[in-house]
Amino acid sequence: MLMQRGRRHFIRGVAGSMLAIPFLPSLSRTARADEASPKRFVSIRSLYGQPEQLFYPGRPSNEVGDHVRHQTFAAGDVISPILGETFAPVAHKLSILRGVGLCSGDHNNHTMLAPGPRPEGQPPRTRTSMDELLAQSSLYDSPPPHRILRAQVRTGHGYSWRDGQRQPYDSVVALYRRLFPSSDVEDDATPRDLQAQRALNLALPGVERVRDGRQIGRADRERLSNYLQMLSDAERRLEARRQRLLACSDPGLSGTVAAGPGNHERHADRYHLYLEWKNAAYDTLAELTVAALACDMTRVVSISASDFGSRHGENGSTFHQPSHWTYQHRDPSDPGGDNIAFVRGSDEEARVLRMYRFVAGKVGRLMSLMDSVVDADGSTLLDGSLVYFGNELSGAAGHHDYSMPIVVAGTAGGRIQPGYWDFTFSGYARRARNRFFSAVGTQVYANFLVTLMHALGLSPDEWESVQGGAGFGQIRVSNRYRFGGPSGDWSFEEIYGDNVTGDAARRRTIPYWFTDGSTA
Amino acid sequence: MSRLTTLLAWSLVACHGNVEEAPPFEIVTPPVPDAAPSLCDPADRGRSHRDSRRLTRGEFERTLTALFGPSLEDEVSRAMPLFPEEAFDVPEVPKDFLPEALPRAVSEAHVDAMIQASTDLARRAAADPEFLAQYGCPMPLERACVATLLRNFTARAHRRPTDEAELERLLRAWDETGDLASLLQATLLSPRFAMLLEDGGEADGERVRLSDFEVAVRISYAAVEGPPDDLLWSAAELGELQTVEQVRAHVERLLESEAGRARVRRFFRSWMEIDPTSRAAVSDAFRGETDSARLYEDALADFDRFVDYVVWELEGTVDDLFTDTTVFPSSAELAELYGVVGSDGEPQFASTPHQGILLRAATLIGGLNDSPIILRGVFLRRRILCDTLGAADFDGNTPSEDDPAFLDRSVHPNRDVVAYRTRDEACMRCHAFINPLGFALEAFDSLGRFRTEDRVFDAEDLPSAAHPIETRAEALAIEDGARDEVDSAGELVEALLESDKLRECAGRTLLRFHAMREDGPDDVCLLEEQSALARSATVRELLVHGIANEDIFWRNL
Repeated sequence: MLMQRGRRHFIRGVAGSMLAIPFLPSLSRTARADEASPKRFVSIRSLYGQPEQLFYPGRPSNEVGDHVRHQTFAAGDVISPILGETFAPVAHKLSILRGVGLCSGDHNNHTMLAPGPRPEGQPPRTRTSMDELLAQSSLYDSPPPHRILRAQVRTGHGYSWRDGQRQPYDSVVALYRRLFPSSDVEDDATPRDLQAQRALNLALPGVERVRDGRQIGRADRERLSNYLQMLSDAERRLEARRQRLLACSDPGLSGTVAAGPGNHERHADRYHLYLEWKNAAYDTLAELTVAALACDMTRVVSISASDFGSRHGENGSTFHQPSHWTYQHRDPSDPGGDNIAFVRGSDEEARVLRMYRFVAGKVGRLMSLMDSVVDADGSTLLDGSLVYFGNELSGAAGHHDYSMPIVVAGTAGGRIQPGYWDFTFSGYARRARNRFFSAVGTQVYANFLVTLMHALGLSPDEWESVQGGAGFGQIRVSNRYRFGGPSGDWSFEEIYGDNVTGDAARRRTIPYWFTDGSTA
Repeated sequence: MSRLTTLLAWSLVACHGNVEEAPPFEIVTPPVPDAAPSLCDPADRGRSHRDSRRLTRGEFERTLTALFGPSLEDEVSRAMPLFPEEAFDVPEVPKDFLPEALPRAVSEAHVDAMIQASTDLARRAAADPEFLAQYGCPMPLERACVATLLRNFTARAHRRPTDEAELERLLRAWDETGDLASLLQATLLSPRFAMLLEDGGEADGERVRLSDFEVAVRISYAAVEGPPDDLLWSAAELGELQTVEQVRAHVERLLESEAGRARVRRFFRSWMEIDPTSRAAVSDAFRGETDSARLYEDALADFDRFVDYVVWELEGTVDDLFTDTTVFPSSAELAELYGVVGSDGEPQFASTPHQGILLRAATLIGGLNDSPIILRGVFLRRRILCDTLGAADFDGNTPSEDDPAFLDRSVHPNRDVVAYRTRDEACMRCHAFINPLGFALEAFDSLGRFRTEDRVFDAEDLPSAAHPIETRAEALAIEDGARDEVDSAGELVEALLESDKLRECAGRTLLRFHAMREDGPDDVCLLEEQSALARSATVRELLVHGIANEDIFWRNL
C-alpha cells in the first residue's frame, strides 16, 4: 500500500564512530530486494607512505605457506596505532596486506590507482588509472549517473566523470548538490510513479472482488489470483522505487556540511580553523560517498587524502615534512638515511602519529559508515565493496615501494579472505647502514590491483589493453629496485620467482587472499 | 515451428528421421454428423465456453483506440511498442488451436507494460478536453461531472455497466486526491479490461446465461476483434440481444464492415496456414526469371481479394470457395503463374489448373526445389479434413536402411523418393494417408507454378534431370464411401467437396477461430449446424452463423 512519507534526512546528526543511518538500510533492502548487490570500489589514497612500525601490527605467527603468514581479526580489535579505534567495528572485515611491492608507478602522482592533480608544468598523464578503467568496465551494467566520483580533500575540490568528461566542482558540497539536487519528490520528481501507485491501490481491491465472484470458474479464479499477485508485486516495486528516490533526492548530510565550501587557503596559517574545516570536509565526503554508493549513483569513488605539500601541518609545516623528513632527511649529514631509530618514541613521532591517525580515523569512519548500510542482498554496503586505503609508496622513510601499505575493507561479496596477510620475504635482513626499514615483499603490487579487478568481476581483457600501456598486471622494473640481503643485493628471481614476467604473471592474483584461485 | 522449418525437417528426414523425435501419425477420423442421427442436446449448448481469455495484441490495440478516441490515437500507437513480444506470447491468429497456446492468462510482461502504458495514457486523457467531453465531462472537472465521466469510461473499459459501489470508491479517491489520471488508470488495470471475463446472470442447470453486454462483447470480438460499437452497446442497454435474430443483425453488420472483412480474411489465411513471413527456399536456377518476393507479395493480395470476392461479391458457397477460377493478379509474375495476360488486379479466369483457396498461389507457395509432398499431405489431412494425427509407433522395429541409389533425384522423381523413404510398414501406418494427398498436388511446384515436369538441379544448380509429373493418387482414404482415386489436383478438390469432412472441418475450424479454443463435445449442436450450412448455404452465412447462434448466450457454470 502507498505510504506517505516526508523527505528523509538519512545522515543527520552524525557523531561518534558508529553512525546512525535511519533510512538507507531499509531503503536498500526494499529497493532492490530481488537483485544481486552491485560491486563497488572505493580508494582512499593516503598521506605519503606509512611509517610501518606505527601502521602494521606485529608479524602474524601463523605461517600458511612460503613467505605467507596470516592472522584474523575480530570485530572490536584495535589493529595498530594508526589503524586505531575507528577501524575496530570493521576489523573482522579488513585485509591488511604486507609485503606487496614493486609498484610500476612513482610517487609523483603517476599512481596507477587514481591520479591526483598534475603538478604545474608536468606533461599530462598518459596511463589509464584504475578508477578510469573501472569506470568503463563491466562493473557497470548500464550507464550510471556518474562513472567516477573523485575528491581531493586538501583543496576540497571534487569532480565527477560523466559521459567521458570530467566535471569539476569547487567543493564537495557543490558536488553533493549536483548528486542530490533538492527536489520535492512527491510533487515533481515521481508523479508518474505516484499516479501508478494510486491506480494500483485502487485497482487491487477490485481484482479481489472479481476473483471472488460467485460464478468465477476454478481456472479463472487461479488466473485472477496470479494477476492480483502480479499487480501487488508491481505496486511494491513502485513503492520501493519511490522511497529510494525520496531518500536519494536529498538524503541530507550532517551539519558539518555548512562548513563548506571550504578552500583551505582561507585558513592559511590558522591551523585550528583549517583542522576544523578539514574535519568537516572528511565527514561530508564520507557521507557523500555512502549516499552515492547506496543510491547507485556511482560504483567508483576515488578520494585523495594526501596533504603532500600543504602548508597546514601542525606548526605551519607541511604534512610531507613530518611524515617523511622526520624519518629520512632529518640528519643533514645523511639525507638519504633512515632515521627511524632516532625518532622512535619521540615527540616528533607523536606528532606524526597524530596526523596519520587523523586521516586513518576518517577512513575507518567511512568504512564503518558503509558497514551500517544494508545492501540489496542483505549484506552490508561494505561487504559487497572493496575499499582500499593505501598509497603507492612504501614506508614513510624512503622513496621506495618494496612493501606498500595496504588496507582493504570488504570482500566484494566473498571474493577475498580478510585478515592480516604478511608476504614479506623471509630471507630479508636490513642493510648495515639501516638505510631502509621496509620489509621486502614477495608479492607484486600489479597483481594486487589485478586481484581487486578479479574480485570485482572484471575479465583480463578488460584490463590488459588499456590506453597508453600494456595494461594492468604489466610490471615495469627499474634499477631503483635493489634489495638488501645478508650477502649483498638479492636478485629479483630470488625474491619474486616467476611472479614478474609473462602472461601468467600478469594475470596472477595474490595467493591465499583471493579465494577464487591464483589465475584468471 | 514455421512452415518452412517444418518443411525442411520433413523434406530432409522424411519418415526415418522421426523415429526418435516422434511426430507421425495415427489417423483419427471425427464423426460425420450426417452419417448418424443428431447428437445435439440443446441443454448443452454453450457449455464449451468455460474460461476467460485475455485480449490478443490486435484486440488490445483496437480496444484502447476505441476507448480513448481519435484525439489520443497517437498516444495509443506510442503505447503499443511498450508491450514486448512475450506480453502477447501467442500468434495473433493461432494456427494449431492447441489449448495451451491460446491467450488465457495475463503475463508479468503484460502487467509491467500495462502499468507503464496506462500511466501515460491516463495522464494524457485526464488533460485532453476532447476525451473528457467524449465521456460527458468537459472542463472544468467538478465532482458530478467526474462521476459521469467515470461511470461512462469504466463501463466502456470494462464492457459492462459500471458497478455503483465501484464508482463510489473511485469518487472517494477523487475527493481525496483530485487525481483523475490515477482513477482512469485504475480502471485500465482491472482484469475486466485486459481479459474477456463473463460473470453471467442466472444459472440454468450447469450453464449460465450471459448478460446482453456480455453477448455484445462476444459478438464484437468475434466479428471485428474489438469492443462493441455504439449501436451494439445501445442494443445491449436496451435488452435487444436476446434472440439469435437480434444477434444476427449486428453480426452481419459488423462482418461487412472493413474491420469485419479484415477479420474474415485473417480467418481464411489462418485456415490455409498462410504465413506472410514464410517463403519458398528454391535455388536460383529453379526460380528462373520469377521474382519470388514480388510473386509472394502479390499472391497474398490475390488470396485476400479472392476471399472478398467469394464471400461478399459472389456470395458464394463453400464449393465456390474451392473451385472458382477467378484470379486477381497485380504483377507479371502472378499473371504468368495463372496463365493470364492482365496484371492490373482485375478479375480474370485462370487458364492453369489453379482454383479456389486451396489451389491458389499463396496457399501452394513454400518448400525447396523438391515440392513438399509430405507437408502438403499433412496440411490436407489436418486443416482440410480435420483429421487428428497421432505419434509414430515403430513397435521397437528398426527402420530399414535406405539404398542411396533409390534416393538419386537425377534418376527418380520426387514422389518415388518420398514413397521409397516412407516404405516401412511403420511409416506407412501414417504415410499411407498422407502421401497420396500430396502426390495429387505434384502438378504445382514450390513456387505454386503449374508444371508438367519435375525438374532436378545438381549441386552446382545446373539442370540434371526432368521427370514427367505424375498426379494420379490412389487410396485417398478421405472417408468411407468417398472417391478414393483421382488423376489431378482438380479431381482431388472435387473428391474433397464430395465428402462431408471438408464441410464439417470448415465449420469446426471457424468455431475454433471465433472461440479461440479447441472444440469440445458440447459444441456438437453448432458443428452439426455449420456442417449443414457448409453444404448448401453461402460462405457468408456460414461465417455469420459461426457467431450468431444459440451458443452465444451461454457459458458453462
